[in-house]
Amino acid sequence: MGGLPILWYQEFAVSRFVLRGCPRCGGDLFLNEGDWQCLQCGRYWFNRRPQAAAPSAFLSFWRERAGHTDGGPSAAEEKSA
Amino acid sequence: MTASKPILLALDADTRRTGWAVFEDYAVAQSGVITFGATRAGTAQQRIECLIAALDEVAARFRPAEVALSSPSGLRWEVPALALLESELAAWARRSGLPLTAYPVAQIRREVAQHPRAPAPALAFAVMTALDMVGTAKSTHEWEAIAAGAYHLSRTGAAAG
Repeated sequence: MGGLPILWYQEFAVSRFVLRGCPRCGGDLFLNEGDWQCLQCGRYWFNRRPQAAAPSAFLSFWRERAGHTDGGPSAAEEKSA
Repeated sequence: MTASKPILLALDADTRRTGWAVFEDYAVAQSGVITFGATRAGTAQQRIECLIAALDEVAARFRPAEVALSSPSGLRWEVPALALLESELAAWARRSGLPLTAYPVAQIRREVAQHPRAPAPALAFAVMTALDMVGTAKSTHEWEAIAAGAYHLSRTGAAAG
């Protein structure tokens, strides 16, 4: 089993619990701030995907420190051009 | 481009294993873990006293100008040992004359690894790629401390322009 059934549960769940829903251990899942957590093994099953399209301020800062940006020339390269 | 920064000491504090990292001019100069083995496991107060003594040594060696702390978050019940740890660390920073900035772990993970509950390997990978440290062997606690320091630098550096 993968993560897909859990996403399906998220769509149609009428309660915050899915009994024996953990794909890893078969434990009961409960909805914890938008993500499913297993009561038995404690594992989280994330519903949200990482937002790779919008880099955080942290990543932007360190990319600028490294002297390059995604797709475009760095500030130093622009200056030298 | 941002100017060079004074030395920063970053901590991932815990009563048993504390990761630390020293940043010099936006790069990790040194990092390590302060541990308390099973043979030395006493009360939380004793372990924290040992931690403070070890931090004094680190501070004397590197002479940091500020401290960034990754503090546990998301716990919905009170943990007396962690409350004691935070208050003792704040007192240590005051005694040492070091400004201490504490960030919740979830906030650091959300910003660094794009999810507030990102697992430790994901956080380590995000940090090593951002800081160009791919291939560097460090423990989980060191990566946590480095993440806290890098996050602090990104906030203060971005604010300073």
